[in-house]
Amino acid sequence: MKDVSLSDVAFSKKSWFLFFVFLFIFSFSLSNCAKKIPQAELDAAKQALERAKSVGADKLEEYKTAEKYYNDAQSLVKEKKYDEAKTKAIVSKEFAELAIKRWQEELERRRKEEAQAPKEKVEIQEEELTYGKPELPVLKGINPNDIEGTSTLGRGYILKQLRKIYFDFDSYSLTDKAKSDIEYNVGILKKILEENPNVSVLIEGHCDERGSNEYNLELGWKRAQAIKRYVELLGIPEDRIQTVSFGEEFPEDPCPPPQCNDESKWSKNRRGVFVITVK
Amino acid sequence: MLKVFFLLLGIISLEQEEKLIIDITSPKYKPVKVILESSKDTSSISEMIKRNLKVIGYVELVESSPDVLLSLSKEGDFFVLKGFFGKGKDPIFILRAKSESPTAIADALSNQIISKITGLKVDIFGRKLFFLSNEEGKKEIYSMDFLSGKREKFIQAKSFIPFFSVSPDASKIALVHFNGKEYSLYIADSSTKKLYTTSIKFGMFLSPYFSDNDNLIIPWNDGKGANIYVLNLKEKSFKKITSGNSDVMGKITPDGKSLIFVSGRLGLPQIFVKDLKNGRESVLPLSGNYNTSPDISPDGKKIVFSKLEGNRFSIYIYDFDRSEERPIITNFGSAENPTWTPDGNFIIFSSNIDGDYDLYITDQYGNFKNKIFDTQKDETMGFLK
Repeated sequence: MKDVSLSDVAFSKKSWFLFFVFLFIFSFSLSNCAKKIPQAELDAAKQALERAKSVGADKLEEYKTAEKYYNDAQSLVKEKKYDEAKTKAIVSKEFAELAIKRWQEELERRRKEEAQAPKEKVEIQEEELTYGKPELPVLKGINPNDIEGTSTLGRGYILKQLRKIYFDFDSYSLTDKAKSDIEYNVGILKKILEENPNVSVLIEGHCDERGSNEYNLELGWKRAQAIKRYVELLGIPEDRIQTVSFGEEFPEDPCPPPQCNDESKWSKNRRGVFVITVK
Repeated sequence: MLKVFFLLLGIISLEQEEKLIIDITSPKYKPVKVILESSKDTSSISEMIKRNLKVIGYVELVESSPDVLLSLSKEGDFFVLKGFFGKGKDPIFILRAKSESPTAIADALSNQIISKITGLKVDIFGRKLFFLSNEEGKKEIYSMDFLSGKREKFIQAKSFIPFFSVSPDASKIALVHFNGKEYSLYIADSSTKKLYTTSIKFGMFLSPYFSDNDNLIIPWNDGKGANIYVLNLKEKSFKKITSGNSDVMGKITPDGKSLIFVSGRLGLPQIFVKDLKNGRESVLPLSGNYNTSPDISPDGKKIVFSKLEGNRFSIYIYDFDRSEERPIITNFGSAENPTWTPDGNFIIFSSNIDGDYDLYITDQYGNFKNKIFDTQKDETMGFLK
């Protein structure tokens, strides 16, 4: 029994030694763990982002922040800064989940609003189809040679010096070129509007022939609105600006797919047109 | 054993016996080869029946070796159509029709022939087809009796009509007309052609849809974006039912419980379902990133819709029970605006495979795709009522 006991003591000393060795290796491994790609955190963040996108929360700022953190995390992984990447991935997931929560709250708010939306009374009366007779403005200070022609459905004049504003496919964002062309146009328009108090600028939004008629009518409206907002920012008063969408109804260079597949034609059709019309 | 029953259709009566059925769902499906024989006093009706049968691809009219021989004769006041598997054999069905209108006789017999061959309850010939045509250089509403009538312009547009819808009983037509500044909504009485409009005089109305004869589902962009509203023509009320600010093409399911609509709220257009009781909305699990133009089948179990694939639209059907989609028209120009026929058996759509847009008819398996008529003018958005 005693031997055994001695042996136990001896083993115990060895055990302590091994324990410290193990502790050293474990600590070393732990420190090494932080040097590994935080794949689980990255995957969790990615899944949360996908979930947020699938429910429609990707328009929220929280989603954009989550996306930024996720991209940062990926960049940090490339730089082998795994600790920081891990933190960014965790924060990305938190923001993506916050975006989902906010979006659900927003949907709930809309649901309540719709449920409580009053039935507005409308009058329904007999009336013929109307179409305001196109009335072309009499322009002061404009050389007739500067008039390129009348606009879609003859609502006003298109002037040679006014630039058309072009858009990317399926986009209503103003590119740098579009902004500079609008700035150029506004410089000319200010003078025309000042000399002709009875005229307005009409902004037409057009699309190429890809997509459905409805979607393109909405897209043309968004394009006209985007131009209008920038024109207003540049100092033209709102009551001198009109907008209209023609969707894909009046392409400048018709190219109906799939028979026609010519980006150079489509790009001409994705346009905003400035028209001088009666106020 | 002879099974006889009478179908009353206006002043027409039909008698028929037994059924001949081909399986239109089978991948091995082939049209039935048919010869239609007529006598001197039945030849004009026979020609009308042939024209009708040609547009539905279940029947192939041949000169010899038919699967089915049809014989049209006159017995007293009745036109009698007998179907045989071969000469000298007993008829497999007999149809009798009586009317003062030869067209009505031809339409009723045509519906019954297709019904006999397929086992479907077919009711398309003799109905009214409404569509948009660019015949005079601007989109306007036209109608014609399917397939016998002449095209007739419904109303003279002052500018153009991008969208319209016909009420289930065809008594009203809702149309959107560009008035020079806005896209205005009008409701037309089909018989008197009197037009009515609402007191909402601004914004942009988009594609209307009659959920029943008194309720119009109408997207309206009030300057903030398009949302879907219900305009009750009896109550004269207007109520918002979606708030996505990019919602269009709303249609109510036949049970009245759900709204199917298209929204760009996720970026590109996708088809959504909204539970009208609890307000919950979900996107249909469809492939691709651009799905639009849904039309709900009369039984409410399926929708037919367009999917943008590359630069062209294809037509798909989504089955709610199976939660799955399947293509029915692909690589056929750009195939757009599919709508069900009221009997739920066929789909009318437009395609520009021949250059301009024409109206075509297919079935829900895409077994055939036949042009309804050809005018070299753009025809789109066909509704059979």
